[in-house]
Amino acid sequence: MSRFSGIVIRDIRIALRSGGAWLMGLVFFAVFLSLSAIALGGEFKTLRPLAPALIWLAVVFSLLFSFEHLFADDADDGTLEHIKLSSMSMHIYVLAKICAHWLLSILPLILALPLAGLLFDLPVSLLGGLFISIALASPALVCYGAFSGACLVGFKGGGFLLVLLTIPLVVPVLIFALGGVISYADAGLLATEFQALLGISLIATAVGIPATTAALNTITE
Amino acid sequence: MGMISFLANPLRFKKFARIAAPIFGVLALVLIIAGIWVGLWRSPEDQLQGHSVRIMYVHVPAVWIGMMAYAAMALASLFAYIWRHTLADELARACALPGAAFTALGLLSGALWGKTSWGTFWQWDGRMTSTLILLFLFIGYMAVWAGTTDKRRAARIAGLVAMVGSINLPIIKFSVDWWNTLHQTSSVSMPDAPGLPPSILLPLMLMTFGYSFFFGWLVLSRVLNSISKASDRRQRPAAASTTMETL
Repeated sequence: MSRFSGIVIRDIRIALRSGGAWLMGLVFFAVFLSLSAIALGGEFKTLRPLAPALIWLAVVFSLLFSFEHLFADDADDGTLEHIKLSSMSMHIYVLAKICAHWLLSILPLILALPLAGLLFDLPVSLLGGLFISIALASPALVCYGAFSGACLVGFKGGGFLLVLLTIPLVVPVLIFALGGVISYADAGLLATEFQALLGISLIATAVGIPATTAALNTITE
Repeated sequence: MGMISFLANPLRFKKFARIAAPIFGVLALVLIIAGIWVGLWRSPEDQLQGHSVRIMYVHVPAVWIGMMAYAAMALASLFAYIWRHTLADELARACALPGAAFTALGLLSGALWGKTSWGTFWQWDGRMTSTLILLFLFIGYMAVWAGTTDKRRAARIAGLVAMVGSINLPIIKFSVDWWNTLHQTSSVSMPDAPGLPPSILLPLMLMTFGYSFFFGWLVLSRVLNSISKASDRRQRPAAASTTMETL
């Protein structure tokens, strides 16, 4: 457990010392939403029905671009080899990286949701649905993103390729999340879509962590 | 299993493929020509859709083969991953481009059929969307092979991508169906009680088997090609070292 928390704390420390680079995802999120609002004409009447989808897309893209360096830096400076040589399980390392990344990139987005709601004049019920759907889907998003990031360490065109690899996996998440935002108003927390999201997150964790470990092993073997 | 371990030897596989590939090619040609002939001239037109129903003979087998290609790719990747067999990697890699091509053909022919029977080239309907996503999965898989010069790593990563994709395909399919469904339900129910009359089923099956053999011919030829490329590469340094010794 102490090794696990050691890696989480190390990643957070590195991020905090990076001169704000870890907040770029949040800036991207804000810029994406503002640009969408401008492109769509800026009328709340037209924006409001589209807002949940736009916010979700902003979350997905802001996250996808953040995974390119999740393992690349550790692979470059030799941390990965050290982890492999040490007695620490690679799975624990991957889990710790994923948790740290969740804290650094999804948590800020979740905290910024009320502000995003203000941009589109969203009613509280929709905002609540967004909040829950993002929270429930976030394990799936980070696990699939981490898998793609681990696959593409040292690849040409890593960023675009990462989006291409991850998008098909994210399609069910997007579908159920946006369905959930709508039905949250009537069904509350028990909406079928939220259960489906939770299921997808569980599958993604069960598949993503071993797959990420296997992908990292190809770098060091 | 016995068959697989028998063919796992590249030399035996080469021998088998050298004989099987031309046979598959000829069978594909014969079956597809027969299928086109029966489909265009010897099958009835549909009561509602008229002649445009004949697009089905191109469209339905193409999508089937596209899905089969992904399954074959994922299965070959699994074998390659467990037993670290390069031949299985080559097999998986060889499935990708033909699979993507068949999926794209299915989408294009489907768009033409959709225009005549639904009045629109594209709808965000469940089956069409999941076929489109299948195409993206193929493209992603091929992009992994193209993305690095380290062939050993590319093979491992591409295999993982194919396997993770195959685990997700049912989830994608289910979610997209749940999201939106307009497409007519499957008219051919395997293995018994086909919902189609034999006059339509015959050209459909001819085309399906024709496409399958065409796919088999493509895959075997691609694997043969990559085996001979690999052995070329292996022989070249050997030749260089002998010249060094003679010098």
